[in-house]
Amino acid sequence: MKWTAVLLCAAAFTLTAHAQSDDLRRRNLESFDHVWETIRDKYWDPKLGGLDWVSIRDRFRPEVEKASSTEEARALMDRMLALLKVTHCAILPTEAALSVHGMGGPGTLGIDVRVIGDHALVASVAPGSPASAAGVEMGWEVTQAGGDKVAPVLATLDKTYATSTLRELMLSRAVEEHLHGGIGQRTTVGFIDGDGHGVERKMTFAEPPGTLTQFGYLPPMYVDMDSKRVRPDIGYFRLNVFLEPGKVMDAFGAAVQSCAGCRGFILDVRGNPGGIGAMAMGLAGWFVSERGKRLGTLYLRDSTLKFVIFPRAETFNGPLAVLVDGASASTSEILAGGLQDLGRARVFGTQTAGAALPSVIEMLPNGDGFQYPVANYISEGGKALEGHGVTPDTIAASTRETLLRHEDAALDAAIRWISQQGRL
Amino acid sequence: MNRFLMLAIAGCVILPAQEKLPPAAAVIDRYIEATGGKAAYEKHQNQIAKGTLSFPAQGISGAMTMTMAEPSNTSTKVEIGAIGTMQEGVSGDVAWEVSPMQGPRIVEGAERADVLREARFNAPIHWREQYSKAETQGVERVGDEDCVKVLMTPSDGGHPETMYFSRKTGLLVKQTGTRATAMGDFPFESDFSDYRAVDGVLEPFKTAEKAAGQEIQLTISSLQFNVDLPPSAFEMPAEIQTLVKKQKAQPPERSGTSPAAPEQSGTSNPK
Repeated sequence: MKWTAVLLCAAAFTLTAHAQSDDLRRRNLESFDHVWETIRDKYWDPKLGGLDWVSIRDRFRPEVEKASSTEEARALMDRMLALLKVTHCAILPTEAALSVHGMGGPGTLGIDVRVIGDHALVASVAPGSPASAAGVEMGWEVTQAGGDKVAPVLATLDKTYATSTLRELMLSRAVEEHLHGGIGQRTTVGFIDGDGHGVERKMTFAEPPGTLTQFGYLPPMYVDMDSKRVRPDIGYFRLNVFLEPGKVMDAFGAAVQSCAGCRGFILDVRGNPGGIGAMAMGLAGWFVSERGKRLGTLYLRDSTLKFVIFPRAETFNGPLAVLVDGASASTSEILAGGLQDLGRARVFGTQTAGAALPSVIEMLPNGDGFQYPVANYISEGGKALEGHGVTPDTIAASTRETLLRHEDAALDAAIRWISQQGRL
Repeated sequence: MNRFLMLAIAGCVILPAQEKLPPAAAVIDRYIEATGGKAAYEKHQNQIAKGTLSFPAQGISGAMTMTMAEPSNTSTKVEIGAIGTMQEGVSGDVAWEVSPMQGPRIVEGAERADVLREARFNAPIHWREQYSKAETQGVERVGDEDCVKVLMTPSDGGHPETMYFSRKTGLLVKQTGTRATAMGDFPFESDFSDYRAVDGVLEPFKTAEKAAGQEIQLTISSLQFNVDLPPSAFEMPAEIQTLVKKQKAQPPERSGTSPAAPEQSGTSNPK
């Protein structure tokens, strides 16, 4: 339905083609100026990689002025941004930008989706959720949401992210946005079930689990965590986003302290897009006993931020496993990559999103999205996580088959590894 | 021709600097007088300031309570809904911080020296103890005011600070320098405004600080002197006490910042 709305808007514009042409040119030029000035003023490297940015504007602006379509203007701006030779610096097509921003409501169906290959697969179904009640199973493929087909959206985004480490994050997020809606509203989702049959499930969006929080100008988000023992001697803590530090850090501290005699501990940040960066330092403080250690360094335009770890009075010194996937981004990568570099944790799962820079996405006057980085982050081992991500020590990837068998490849691998370590 | 033009422009710039400027000590002493005078400061033994701390660009703000007392005790609590309660303070010679994000920590090194300098109660009247050198550097316009620019060098070896005192009112309008933190050193700029008289002393009720690309605004809504403080006012939180005990039990470790000896503390900014 959301994509249909975009098409309807486009149809309306064609009715006033001449007037729209002048207006389009103006909006494309305004968009170009915004992009050019933003990079000049806010891009983390003030030298802009040694580029003569003024000459570049003089070269591209007249071409954008002559562009007869948004697509043409977008391609020119993308060519200009490509000169910076960095990832996460791109113009996102209108329909993709709308998907990234999200137009769904807060209501959830309890389905966690990961795009594996070209397929949006159900990675987990929350117990007690609408999806669980409707009999949705892990490993099913999502084909339609709210009456719209998923494949065209994935194909559109794939053009932008085909070779980027961000691919899984952006594609999974776009599908998940369409699995959210107003609490209490009904929706129909199309799947391919475990037997390969097309099925539909009618469900009602429910309030998400966790605590609703709002941090600054970020949209309201639900912070959800899960603290348990995956075995009597192995602690486990999952966090969906790094927000609400007062509650999260207390809960995390209690989880670690209650597991002081455990054989090992597992921290699960799969699907966690990041949040407040400083929380990575606070969480690491429960596992690093030596003072003066740091996760990495953030390079802003005019200053440098060292991500220093402040050890807690009592730290957990046993084996630590961190679970990540392609939708683990930003603070998740800073934490996982830093602990890996320090030799303090073993990382399990799949390559992370490589979005460890604070990059922002703004809407342009012509309706396209504009993503650009505002800082550079170097992990303690000297690696830039941006565009590369964290490579797990143990690659443990889910497939449709493993999901249909209700297996969790990364968690299982982490449990096996901890079991092989000596007792404390 | 262009060379002569450039020389003329350069000459224009140089002229104000050749103006006879007052000695730095006179500028700072005038500031003390303008804010009430040494005797007025000395009547106060402690204070409680309440107000708001905000990050306007990020839409974040919270209630702040700052308690200070002779000679250098402080305790500040900021409560921000989406973050939690942040606390920092100086208890005797221990500078500490409890952050809901980073956890509890004992402040060390150059950062500790900065914190202790700022913790000095009635700081302006103690400037001669805290700064080994103060030099007038010129006149500069800050907003609508001509200000005398004074470079002050902390006696504890900290980063020099530049103060801008209004020629008209004698008040401190702006301060620039480099702040030492555990995460690195940051250039900062603070603007002071909305001076109000409380019990004979003028205090800035608004401070806007820019550092690391962020702007922080501090707005005081109430300020009281000589309050009947409970004995626990500057007690360290339990988690800090645990860290202090642990540190005492361990051999000292080198931190990433340059060390500052405790006996070199007790310095302060003239504001």
